[in-house]
Amino acid sequence: MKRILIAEDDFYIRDIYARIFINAGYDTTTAFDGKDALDKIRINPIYDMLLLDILMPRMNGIDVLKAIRNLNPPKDQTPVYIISNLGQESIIEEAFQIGLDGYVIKAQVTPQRIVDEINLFLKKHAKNAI
Amino acid sequence: MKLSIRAKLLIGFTILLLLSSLIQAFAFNLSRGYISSLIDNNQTLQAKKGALEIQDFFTGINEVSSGLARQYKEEVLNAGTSGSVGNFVAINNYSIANNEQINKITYLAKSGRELYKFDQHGELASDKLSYEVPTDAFTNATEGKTAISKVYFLDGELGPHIDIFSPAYDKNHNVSGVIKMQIKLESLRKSLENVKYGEKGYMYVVDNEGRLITHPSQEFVNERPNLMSRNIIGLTLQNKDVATKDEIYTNENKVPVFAKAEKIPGINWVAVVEQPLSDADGYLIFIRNIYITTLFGATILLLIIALFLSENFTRPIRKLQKEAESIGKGDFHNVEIIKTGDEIESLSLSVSSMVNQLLARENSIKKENQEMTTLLQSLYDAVIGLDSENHIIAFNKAAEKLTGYTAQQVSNKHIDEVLELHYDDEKILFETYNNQSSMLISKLREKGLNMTNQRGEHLTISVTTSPILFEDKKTGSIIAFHDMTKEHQLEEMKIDFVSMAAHELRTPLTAIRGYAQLLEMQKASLMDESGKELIQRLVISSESLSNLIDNLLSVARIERNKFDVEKKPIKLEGLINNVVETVKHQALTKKQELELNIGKDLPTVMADPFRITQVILNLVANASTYTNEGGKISIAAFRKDNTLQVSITDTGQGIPSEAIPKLFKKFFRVSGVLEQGSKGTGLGLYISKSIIEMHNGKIWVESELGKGSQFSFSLPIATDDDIKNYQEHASMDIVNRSGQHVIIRR
Repeated sequence: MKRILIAEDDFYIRDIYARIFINAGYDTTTAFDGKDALDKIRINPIYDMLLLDILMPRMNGIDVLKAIRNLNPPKDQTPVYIISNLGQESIIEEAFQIGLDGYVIKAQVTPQRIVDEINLFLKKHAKNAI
Repeated sequence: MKLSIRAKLLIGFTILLLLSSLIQAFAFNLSRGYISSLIDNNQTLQAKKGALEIQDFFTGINEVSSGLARQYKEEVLNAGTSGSVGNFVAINNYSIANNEQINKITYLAKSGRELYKFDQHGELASDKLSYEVPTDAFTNATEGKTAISKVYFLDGELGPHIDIFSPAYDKNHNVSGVIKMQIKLESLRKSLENVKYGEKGYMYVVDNEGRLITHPSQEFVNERPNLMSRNIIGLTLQNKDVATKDEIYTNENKVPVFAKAEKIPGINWVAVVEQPLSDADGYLIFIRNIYITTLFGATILLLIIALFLSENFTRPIRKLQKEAESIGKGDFHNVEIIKTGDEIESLSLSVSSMVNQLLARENSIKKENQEMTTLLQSLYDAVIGLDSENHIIAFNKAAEKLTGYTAQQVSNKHIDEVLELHYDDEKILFETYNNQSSMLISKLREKGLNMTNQRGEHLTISVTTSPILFEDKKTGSIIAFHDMTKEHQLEEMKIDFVSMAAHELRTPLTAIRGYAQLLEMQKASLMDESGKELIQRLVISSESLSNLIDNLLSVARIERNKFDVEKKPIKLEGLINNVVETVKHQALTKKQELELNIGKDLPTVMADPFRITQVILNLVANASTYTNEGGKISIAAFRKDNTLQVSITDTGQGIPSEAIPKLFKKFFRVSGVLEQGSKGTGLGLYISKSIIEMHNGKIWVESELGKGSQFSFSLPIATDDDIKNYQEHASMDIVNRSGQHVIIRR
């Protein structure tokens, strides 16, 4: 079972993501903001996949990405997807330079599409790893 | 050569004067010649007269002599020695007494012996008789020729004398003796005194050897001068022509004289008429003086007349000239009519009427100008006038207010020096916004240009330019500026509000969509059919709300120029097929027929597949929405010239023609179709148009009310250069951690 950490500050959206990923058979953990997510990763670095919202209180998604990619040693290579909104293209560009694996635009896809996308990604990722 | 009228008149008169003096001089010469010859002739006549006088004198003597000779023949020779000679003596005495000029009479024998001798006292006694010296004259007389002795002077007697020897004949007509008469020339002088010439003219006589015989001055005669030195005498004696220069000489009194000479026939004497040269020339000088005086007088008179005339001529002309000069300087006063009654008066009349017309015209121009100025100044929009070099020539109050410059400051400056306009960060010069055909111009009009004025205010303005044409030549331009700042700010605020509201709506909407989907996925199976339908409707509604918000955000981005397209070489067939798949369901529910006409080997275009899909989807969805059940929608794609054209044709209700120009504007919806459903937001076509224009394409519609519409767009076909360029730049794309290219959708 794949372990996924979802960081999203909006309670309902977090709830929806949690439900749909559980439904899809993921071992799902949620964090209510970036700091919470980073703490969880540091305490227990076991996740196969990180899903980060960009705009969150205390710490935003990009800073979380920066932090984990710079964890020392060893560098955390956990795949990271960003859930973004329209109008954040430059942030996504920056994120790819830091070490992003992919992104979805919240408004343009249904929650199920996100799950499908992550499924596909992890399948490819696993292939590449072998 | 430039000459004033006065100078010309004066020159004319001078020429006239010169001509007349030439004529006068010629006439003078003519008259002088005439007068000279007149004087000449007159003097010659006098000389001839004198000569005749002398001849008469001798004729008289000869008559006496021949009478005496007859008496002598009859009384003495014929009577012989026996006869009385008393009568003969009486006649001789009588002759001497009555002829003043005869001094003595002597009868000579051929041998020269004196036979009888008479003087004033009567007959001389025979013992006082002697012999005659045989001179040439005596010899001539013995040979039968009357002869005259040389002039001689007698002591104690006045004047010269001569002897005249005449032959005395006997009855056989042989020369028996000679009668000698002593003649006093004093008497000749007296008779010649009658011969006068002019004031001081007189006559004198010389004999054949130049000796002076008579002269008005007895003393001069007594000096016994020989006047052969005077050429005129010698020449006359020799019967030669006398030149004028020889007729002029200085006489015994050192007076220059003019003389005429005449030879007396028979006795070879010369009579000379002499008068002072001053007298001879006096008349000429008098005439010359008359000429000179009249010439001088005429000159002065002509000069005065010339000055007067020229003054008279030129005064009105100068006056008119002054008027014309002041008119030329723009002083249109009333021209005084010059009343000369000639061409100048009519000229001044013409000038006057010309000035009046000019004045009227100037006034009407001034009035028009004033009207135009007032119009220009009262305009709310800034108006700037440019000359053909794009230098500022007019600048109204609104322009001053807008730019912060005063009209004076910018006068004659180039427009680009004064106004710095920007579009985004690009500086836009007059050349660009004046270019009516430029692609940019409609965009500039719509969005406006940015400008920072002298007061540091940032303004948004829209610019309209129009050329000033005069006789088909561009002589300048008029630029009108409309301050759009407030409108622009309002627009910005509107966009900001829409954008913000959309963003704020999005989070709860995302939650609603999420839960709706979850409900559909997880709980629908537990519900009955009507529950399932409710869930279905919830999903669809939240979906369309999401689309609306997306469109609003897209519009906001387009307005802020933050809407980008990622062009790459693509084929459109795939996109069209995808769209057809998407709308198939909707069309099926409305029982609409979907027709595809895609040409073979469609050319590649440089396009953003996501955006173009958006456009095609929008057009096809619209077609489906506005077409009734059972209608037909056809999608065609084909090459046309250098473009790839896509047309979506429906059999819908069509669009009213008045709505067509506004169709592609934002928030516009065709009225009367609002009731058709909640789908239309009035944003789809605006976004589509923006997307196509970002691809340098065109989008348009043809429609017939009741029959249907055809929406078309065309995209330029990708050139080899476009593709090459794309491939070179593709490497700069963003990659994810796995090295895959990522396109960030904006």
